[in-house]
Amino acid sequence: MIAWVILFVSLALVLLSAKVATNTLAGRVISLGAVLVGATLVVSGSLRLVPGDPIDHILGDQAQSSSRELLAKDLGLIDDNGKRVSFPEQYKNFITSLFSLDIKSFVTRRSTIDMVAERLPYTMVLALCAMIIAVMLGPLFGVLASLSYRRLPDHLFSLFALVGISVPSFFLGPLLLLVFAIRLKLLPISGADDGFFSLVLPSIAMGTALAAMLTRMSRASMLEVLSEDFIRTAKAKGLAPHTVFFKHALRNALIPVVTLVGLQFGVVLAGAVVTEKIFNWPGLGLLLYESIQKLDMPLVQTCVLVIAFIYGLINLITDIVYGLIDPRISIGGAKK
Amino acid sequence: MKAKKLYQFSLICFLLCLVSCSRSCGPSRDKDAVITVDVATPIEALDPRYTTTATASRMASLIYGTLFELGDDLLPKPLLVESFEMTGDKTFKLLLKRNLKFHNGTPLTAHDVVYTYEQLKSTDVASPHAEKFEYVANLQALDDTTVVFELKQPHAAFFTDLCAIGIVSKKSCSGRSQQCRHELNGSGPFRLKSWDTAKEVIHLTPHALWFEGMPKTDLLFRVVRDENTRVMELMGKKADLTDGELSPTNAFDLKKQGHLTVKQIPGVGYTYLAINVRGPKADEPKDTAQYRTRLALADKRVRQAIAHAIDFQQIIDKLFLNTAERASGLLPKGHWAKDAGLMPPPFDQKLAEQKLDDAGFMRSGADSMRFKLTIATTPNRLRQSTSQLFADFLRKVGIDASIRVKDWSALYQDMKQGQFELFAAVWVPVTDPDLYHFVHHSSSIPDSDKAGGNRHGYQNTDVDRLIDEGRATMNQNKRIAIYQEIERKLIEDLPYIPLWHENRIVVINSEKIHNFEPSPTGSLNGLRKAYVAKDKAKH
Repeated sequence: MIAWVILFVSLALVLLSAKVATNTLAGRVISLGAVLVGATLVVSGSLRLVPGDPIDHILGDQAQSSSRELLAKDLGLIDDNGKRVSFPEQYKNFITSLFSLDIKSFVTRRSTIDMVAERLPYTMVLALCAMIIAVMLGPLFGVLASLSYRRLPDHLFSLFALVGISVPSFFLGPLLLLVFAIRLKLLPISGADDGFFSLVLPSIAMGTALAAMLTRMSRASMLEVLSEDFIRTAKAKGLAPHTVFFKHALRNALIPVVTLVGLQFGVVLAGAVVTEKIFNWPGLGLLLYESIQKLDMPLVQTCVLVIAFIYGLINLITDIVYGLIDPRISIGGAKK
Repeated sequence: MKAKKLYQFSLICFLLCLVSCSRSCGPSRDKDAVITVDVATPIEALDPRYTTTATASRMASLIYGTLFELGDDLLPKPLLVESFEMTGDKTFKLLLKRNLKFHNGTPLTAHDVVYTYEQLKSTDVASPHAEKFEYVANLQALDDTTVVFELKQPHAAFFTDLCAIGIVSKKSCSGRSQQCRHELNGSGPFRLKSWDTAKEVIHLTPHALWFEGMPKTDLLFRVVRDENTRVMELMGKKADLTDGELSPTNAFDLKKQGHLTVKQIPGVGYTYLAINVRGPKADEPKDTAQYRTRLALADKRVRQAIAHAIDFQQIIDKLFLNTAERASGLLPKGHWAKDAGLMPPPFDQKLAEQKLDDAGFMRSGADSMRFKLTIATTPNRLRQSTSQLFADFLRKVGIDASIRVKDWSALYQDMKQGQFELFAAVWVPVTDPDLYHFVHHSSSIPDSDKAGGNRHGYQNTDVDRLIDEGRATMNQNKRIAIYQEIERKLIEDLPYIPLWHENRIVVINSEKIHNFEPSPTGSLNGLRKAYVAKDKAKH
């Protein structure tokens, strides 16, 4: 019964967030709640469709039925009568444990909140550094390329964008390690033991592809804006070239770039599995990936919840940044 | 302008934070005085009652002393036990060594031994190994150093089973096993110094009260999942040792590095090709390809033909770079129960075709094939390549073989339910031949209520009888004769086609590590006597 209430509440949240204008702060907060409930529901539900049994992963193949039953009861997969606990009931138990901050991983029997909390700083730092590299290089290269359209710098920056997008991180990562850690011995090989120095190579490996994407996006966006009528008008008014460029063109061109940055930040939070594996970086992506493989439901749910929350938060920040770039756009009201 | 300054200030603060964190955030240790070991698998637990992976079990045995340990000849040798005596086939009196201590300084007594084994099944402990000692009828401590095990029936693998579970402290764990499983108060040669669960780094330090004398050096275990990274860590001297965690190609490349020594140890793992021998189901329509395949695989001659059709030695030479030994059964070459003269079916495609013809599966149709066959495999690159090679060889003798790649969870479900035709997998480690009971005894065919390793559905009353006899016979020589007879019957019946025993490849930074001998059992016990080069003069 309670499980149905949860489902109903999540649906109601979604409807409510649609009803309350999504560009108001209240609407955003409600929609964030709906996203959190929805994301954990969808992930937990789809995890049940995956063939396999978490008990197999924990006990191996030699355990007999009594051990399996004992563990299944302990993990809340079956009730005292040996009946399988339904999905809504399991989800309810998850929410109850969440409010009491007592969610235990199926495999390690440690608090999943602790497990996520100890990895989150590493993930955040890596994501931030990768984004800093991307944001510092991508828009700069893109703008420079657009200003020298169809000339040598444009070709060079476009080549960088093409290579950056095409080279996969499982190739770039070992290559960076081989050159900077093994041959030149400038940076540590792997792990997170050497603070800032440990961050350099994984950030470059992750940031390069993002920078390449931002280069392409900024270039295209700038070219489009530079051909708009209002730019021509601004020039005709006799405004200084830097005013036209910075005040009129760049501001408008940055909006799609900021959108992409926001979206990509979410991707680097949980999608850095390959980079984390190559550089042995203790990130959240690898934790989530392995917990899915082991069907460790509470850990998957906690990871998804945290990632969805951060993702929602970043989207909110992105919307606020829109307002800073273009004052006509704002949260909490119509266009000025 | 204000925003620009704020941006610059934030950026400088962030960089300062990162730089201030550099090099001081890692665990403080003198890297030169520690042996760093890279492992590939995450460690789920180190309390031996909860370990399920081979890597975790090997590490747990460094922290928790066991009553017996496997020697290099794969026979159990006393470790915490001083002496033992047997009364009949079912009663064992074990006398513990004196002055054994847990890491917190409390004495290890017979009561701790009784607690460890008796409580495995309790709801407080909830161990995955709960049934391991089902055959023990009674267990009691006569005094602080004497413990008596009474078995329900003779069980020849009893001492080998005792090698698996280290002794835990009753005082620390009684009634609070779920907390004590994380405290790791063991009695082994090393004690836990720190476990960074985020970075997955485990630091072990010598246990000063270890009865053999204090081990020489600290150990640092690091989980490094990516093989290329493990290779680079060895090249760059970040890691000093990996044991069985590298592929032959990568390991042989490391021979060029002056500071590294690459050793090959005969492995105790058994790679096999399992064949579903159940035959067609009673209600299965007879005109389907699946019916024909099931019918074929139930025929011994077809299984023999499959074994003759594939050039396993060529696969060993080319794919494994000769780092595996062709198998003729579950027991590896050199095992105390192995019949050294037992040979696997030779590669002979003409003989294979002849056997298939004799079994009535003639070439037919436009593609001149006999029947279809699907080989299930996991996405593992090496397993996929070998399965593809098997399929190529089988097509040459008219078996229309193809591979189906499935994630391990999905494949394992299929295996348990008998929904497969052929799959290749590994049993590891093969120590006591009593494993035959789990693998080939008809009582080990799994169903919804029962676990078992006989997923291929093999039933042979003679083999069952011999396996039961082997389990109940305590006399070593009689056991050897029994298991050699079993292996002869199985090489004839071929419910499994024996493939190979992969060698374990150990890479050691020999400039730094001294006195380390890898164990044939795969254990890390050699680290008890190892020391680092700068301490060489002291030893």
